[in-house]
Amino acid sequence: MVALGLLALLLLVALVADWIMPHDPNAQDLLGQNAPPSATHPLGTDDLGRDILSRLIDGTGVTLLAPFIAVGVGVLIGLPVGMLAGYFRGIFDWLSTRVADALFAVPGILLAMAIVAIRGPSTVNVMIGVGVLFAPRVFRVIRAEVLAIRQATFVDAARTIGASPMRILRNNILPNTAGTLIVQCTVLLGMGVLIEAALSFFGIGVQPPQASWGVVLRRSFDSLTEAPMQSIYPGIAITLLVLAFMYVGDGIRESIGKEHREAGW
Amino acid sequence: MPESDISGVQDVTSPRVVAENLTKVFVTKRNAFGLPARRLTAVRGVSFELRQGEIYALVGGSGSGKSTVARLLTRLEKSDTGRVLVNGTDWTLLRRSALQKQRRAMQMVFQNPYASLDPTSMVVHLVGEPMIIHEKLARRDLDARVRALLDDVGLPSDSLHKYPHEFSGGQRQRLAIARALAADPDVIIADEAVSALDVSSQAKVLNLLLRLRRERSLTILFITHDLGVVRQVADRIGVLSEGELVEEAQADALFDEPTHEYTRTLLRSVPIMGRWR
Repeated sequence: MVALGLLALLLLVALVADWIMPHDPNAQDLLGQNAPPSATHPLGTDDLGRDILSRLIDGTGVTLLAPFIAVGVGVLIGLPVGMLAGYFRGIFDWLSTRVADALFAVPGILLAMAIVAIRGPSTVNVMIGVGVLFAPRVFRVIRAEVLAIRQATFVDAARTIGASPMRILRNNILPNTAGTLIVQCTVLLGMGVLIEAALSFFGIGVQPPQASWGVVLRRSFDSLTEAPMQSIYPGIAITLLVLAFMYVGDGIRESIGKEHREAGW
Repeated sequence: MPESDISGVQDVTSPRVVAENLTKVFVTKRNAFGLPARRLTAVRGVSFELRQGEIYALVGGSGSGKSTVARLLTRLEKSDTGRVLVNGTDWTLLRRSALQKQRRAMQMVFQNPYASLDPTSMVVHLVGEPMIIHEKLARRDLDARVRALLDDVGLPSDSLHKYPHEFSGGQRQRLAIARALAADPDVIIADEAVSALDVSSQAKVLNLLLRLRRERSLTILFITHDLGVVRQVADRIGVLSEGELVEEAQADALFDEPTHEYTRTLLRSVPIMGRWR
């Protein structure tokens, strides 16, 4: 519940960012660089004299949106392929599993860098690339789940009343994988936050002057010795966000476990 | 023996279902090359027919192939040999889409009502699905039809928007029966349909099946290991042993003078109250 509340709060912050920022996130104050926390700058300023709190608030939207793009792409590819492979088995299953294995071997950061090299730096492009790498993770979980569900008696029951395979996939199998899918998504969202932060940290994700939590973290490294606290704030924010996604996933997993026990399969 | 005297609906002339020489071999182990290393013959050359309006009981111990026969009849499993004729149509020759249409005629009620109802489906969709599939029924009419069916099987007709977990075992089996009826079938296969239920629910569900047979002149294949139940309801009985149909007779005849040794063993093992005294 706390985790869900935190996510809701961050979403709210992202939506009303323009009104609650105490300063312009991009306004430089070269005389007030690396200022310690004060009444005017609650979290101090960075090495260009920009208000860190405002930059964090400004970056909330991108930081939240980026992992959703990646997970969205991953689900869009992984879910249907996983369902078809798990239900129909056969050559399609074999082939898609091999492709998934191959994609698993590709390091995410490397692929993201390759995409940036070809298409130029853009958060959307990079996160779509990350999403392609998320697809096999979704695929594997969904395929395994479908392999189990297709053995269930209620699937046999659906067949005996004359339901077509597509109908069974849509009405019986998809709803029964929903819980697993949501849990997997929250795990991937957490990973997505970290990957976005890492890419921004390397300077190939979000481009300046736009802020994201990863960008703020990167910036703080230039003056780590003078103002070490600067890297603490975005670090804490990123950690909390990842934890929030994880806890929400755990909560959903537990409530679903209960339902399954009641359903008796 | 309540209700067993209702056999006036029988029309002995036309078999609804004909099972001819059904055999099913399962591969239980494969070698390193993926070739079968060990086989299990679950059903061996089983032939029988279900006549219009009768209750045919298929009995046998665990592992005798009863459930496999049911799965072969409904084509949940493909048989290795033989044919299944339902209303004269050979189901073993049908392609998938044609089979989906034909399946309406023969419905199945499964043993475990906790597993045979999709936990994510609401009653109105669960019970109404055969009508959506086969009649392309409009949403509006669906509610009324499902209500009527629920009423028919003795469930409160206001449970349209409930989920299966809100019902007891006996009620769930009624839901399963209502779904089978929604397809307007000629034949219902009840695969151990009451053995997972407590005794009072068993009696209620059995009486429901008997009443439905009378009202809708259904043909029922009653698969069970419980000879006590069989005695109450069956017109004819087939005895399965290790995948083979070893004896087939009118119910009374079988109970009075079983001819096959396995049948005698089976009958001896029925615990009947009072027999020991």
